[in-house]
Amino acid sequence: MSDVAIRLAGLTKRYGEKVALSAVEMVVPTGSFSALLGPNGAGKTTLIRCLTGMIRPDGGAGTVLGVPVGPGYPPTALKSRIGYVAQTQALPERMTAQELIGLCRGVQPRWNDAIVKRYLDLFALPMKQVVRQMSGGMKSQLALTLVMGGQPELLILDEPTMGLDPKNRHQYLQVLLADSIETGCTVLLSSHDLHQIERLADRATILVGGRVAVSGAIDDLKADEKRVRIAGAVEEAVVLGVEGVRRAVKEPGGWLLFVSGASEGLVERLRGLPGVTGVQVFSQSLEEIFLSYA
Amino acid sequence: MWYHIDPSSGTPIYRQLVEQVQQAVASGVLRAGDRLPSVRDLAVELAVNPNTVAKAYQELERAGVIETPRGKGSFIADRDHTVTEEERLRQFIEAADKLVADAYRLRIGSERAAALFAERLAEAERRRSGE
Repeated sequence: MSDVAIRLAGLTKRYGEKVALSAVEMVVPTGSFSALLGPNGAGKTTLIRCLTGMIRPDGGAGTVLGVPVGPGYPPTALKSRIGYVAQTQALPERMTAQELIGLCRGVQPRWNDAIVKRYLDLFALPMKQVVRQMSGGMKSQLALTLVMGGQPELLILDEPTMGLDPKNRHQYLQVLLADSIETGCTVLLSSHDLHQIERLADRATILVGGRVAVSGAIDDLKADEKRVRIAGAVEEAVVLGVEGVRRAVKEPGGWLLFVSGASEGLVERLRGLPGVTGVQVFSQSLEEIFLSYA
Repeated sequence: MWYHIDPSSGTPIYRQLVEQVQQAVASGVLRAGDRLPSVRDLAVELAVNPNTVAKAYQELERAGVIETPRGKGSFIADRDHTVTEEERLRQFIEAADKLVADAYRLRIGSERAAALFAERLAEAERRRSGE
């Protein structure tokens, strides 16, 4: 098995004049729990649809589980290796859990009834109720059950825990984590719940306006991305001229700086600027990093 | 085993785990020889990425707080034999320097600071030696 589950290079998608994805570069290591983040309309769902083969990119290259994304993607053999849980659960309204399980069993080559039973018991899902009568949370739980039954190598989840209460959400994430550890399955999770992501994921890619703003191991992002407050009368051009400073916001008596590639040296350089009387460095949570780009 | 994880803090989660295990040892909640949950079990329990837990355990091992005999799990180490005297002193001086800075900032005089520290030491000693 390759050590990379997803590799995208310069992936581009246009809808008429509108550029939905612009030269997206992304690497998702095999077995990782990776997050795909970004504000609404950033292109997350478009990117996911390119990965699942629901739409075709206009340019760039990529591989998913070793298969090139391009004309004819995804080949039938790949479809069953990718599990996809969509944001809006498109389960057939008139079918029961039992009927849906029967349907999936028929089309999934690696279907495993033992896994399905474990999920059904854990979530206490009713077998004979039609989807229409299920709560949003139950639909989410059923969707995960159906996908995990097929033993995917790559699991793509788009806002999977919407509609779940905190207790059920925690349980859902625990079982997802336990099974991904057990099976070595790669997980790509898109979510707006950044606190949840920060716990679960080891890597994150933040999309803004169809472009990758930052991408990497979350611990590295947190070490790199800082906010720095400086006090003193300094010109904007001077602070922006310091290497690593990517944005400056005027504050009373100084500036709030957004810096990337933070190092000891950066603080010293800022302290050394003529007119600077104080420097304070803030670590950021993933949410704060997100907000600094979004 | 439960630990408080605060994702909204800028402190990396593995650091939060390291600090809380260290606090648990310092306060006598965890004692030498106590077994820690496996990386997998703790990750699932807390719904935290297993690499994060693994990183915390590595850090704790490096700091001499835990030992992981091959294939046997992770245990709280005896306090003195795993880390060199020099390393223990270095870590303590680092912590002391922070305290000294706080004493200055909070205008606590040297004598008062030393007395307070002695008091805290005795208190911790009392708790550990069994109530």
